Amino acid sequence: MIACTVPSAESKPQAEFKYAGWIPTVAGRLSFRHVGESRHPTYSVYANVAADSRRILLGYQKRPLSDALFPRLTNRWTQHSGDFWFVIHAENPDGADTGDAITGTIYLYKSESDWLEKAKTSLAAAIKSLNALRLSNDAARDALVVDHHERAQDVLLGTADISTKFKMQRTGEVYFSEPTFLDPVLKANSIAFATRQRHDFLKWIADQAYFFLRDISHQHQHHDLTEDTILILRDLDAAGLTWREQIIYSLYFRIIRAKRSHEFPDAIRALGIMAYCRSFKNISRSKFKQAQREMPIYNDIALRESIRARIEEDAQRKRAEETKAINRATSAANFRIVGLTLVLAALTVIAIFAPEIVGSGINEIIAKKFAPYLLPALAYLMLAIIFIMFVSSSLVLEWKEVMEISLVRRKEAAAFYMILVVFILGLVLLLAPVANRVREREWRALISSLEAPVAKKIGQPHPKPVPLSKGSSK
Amino acid sequence: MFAIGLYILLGVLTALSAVLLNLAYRLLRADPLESEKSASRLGSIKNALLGYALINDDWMPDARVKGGLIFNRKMNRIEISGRLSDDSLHRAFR
Repeated sequence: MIACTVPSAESKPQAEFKYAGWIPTVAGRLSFRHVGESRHPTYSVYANVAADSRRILLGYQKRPLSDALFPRLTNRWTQHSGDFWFVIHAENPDGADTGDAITGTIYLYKSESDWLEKAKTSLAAAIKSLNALRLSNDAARDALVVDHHERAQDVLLGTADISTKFKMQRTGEVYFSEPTFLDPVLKANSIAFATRQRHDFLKWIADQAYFFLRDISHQHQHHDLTEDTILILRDLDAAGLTWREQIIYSLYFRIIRAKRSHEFPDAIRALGIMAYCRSFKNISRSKFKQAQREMPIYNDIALRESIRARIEEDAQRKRAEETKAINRATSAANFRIVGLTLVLAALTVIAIFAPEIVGSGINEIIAKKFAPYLLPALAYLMLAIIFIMFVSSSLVLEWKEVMEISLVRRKEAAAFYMILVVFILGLVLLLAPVANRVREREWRALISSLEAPVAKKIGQPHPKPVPLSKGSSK
Repeated sequence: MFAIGLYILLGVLTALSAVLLNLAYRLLRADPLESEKSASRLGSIKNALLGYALINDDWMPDARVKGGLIFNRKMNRIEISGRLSDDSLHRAFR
């Protein structure tokens, strides 16, 4: 009979904490010295000060969490706000050098107005003071550090909308408590809405706190900065092992998903995530052994070989594609240069010889009809070519939001865009003669204004401007 | 000068039509399986616009939709929001 015992390290977190997760660390040990520093999604403002008896952490970060596609447009209409401020207030109580866990609380402010009115000034000042004390030789330094830290906590406890306690161990294992709300109405409304959508709202808030903690403790490698769904928190089970199994399954799911992708860097990222996975299994091995339970088994050697083979294939295909792209770009550049040169040369020739062509007797009716339109048509064509070649390519590549919204009704959206194209080109064909007429009028006005002073000087009457008629060059 | 402005407008309109034609082409060439899976999470144009993509609330992270938060001032509540992950878009429009 196998006795399934609860590892002693888990019982303490289990009493206070409801969720568990892992801050990825390949080395198996986080550096607490760098906790607080983050550039994603925005720069954090923080103080990480090592006093004699403990390490003090205080920091905040603005996190835009809205997933609306065009928030600047829609937020005014919907009265939504996607900017949240997260604050960490924590310490390493066993000492800066020897302590293996950071405990504290993460606080959340739901809007910019709340943050600015209630907390920003005090916390920014506290962080500034703490940073100033970091290298101070003042005898009262430690006492001052603790004092600033505690005052900051008083501000946070009285003003933050949501708070959740956490414990982060040096191995990266993290535990979170159930979030608590300052405003019970906010809590009730939020939970009621989330329940209708079949979401566990409190766990979701804890997940966001976990993402914040991960961003300030861990450097994102082997995955895109915007991907925060590789790992999330798990419910902390009694044995403290189920959540570890789920982390392992999640990592392997991500590895296999990356391996199946045909894009070049994805398979390489899969190898990087495998390294993280191995690290976590090493950290958890003793826990499974203690409970006499087997860790999920995967054929790592075969998986690694398969990923390496995929990397080779993708690299070769990428090289071939890059060669083709270089050749295409070179041809396109040559075409543009030749095209522009020919257009400019043609414009120059026409500008010089247009009067002679009109008066030379070469089918005067046709020449008189089309000559006034030739220059403007070529000018317009040149402008259009310049816009299409040099501007439109960058616009197309960056319209991610438009592509996403079009996916809802893919074929209907494609049909709509094609109808829009026909409409726009029709508008262009309608406007082109208008532009030509306007150009002709302006040109005649310019010529008249230039000829009048000359005629006056040599005593000749000012030539009467010829009334405009369609196709007329006089 | 007005004529030059009109010619520039014509150039911009022509370029815009080229962009829209390219969009239409990419939509028609998108992977149908990935597009269907992503579209089912978005539900409607309003959901996509406002960031209300449907999220799988499970112990396994949802790889298709990335989640966030919105504060709804009118209703005084914090709501869970979501939109397609960059990876999903990339797979659909490869």
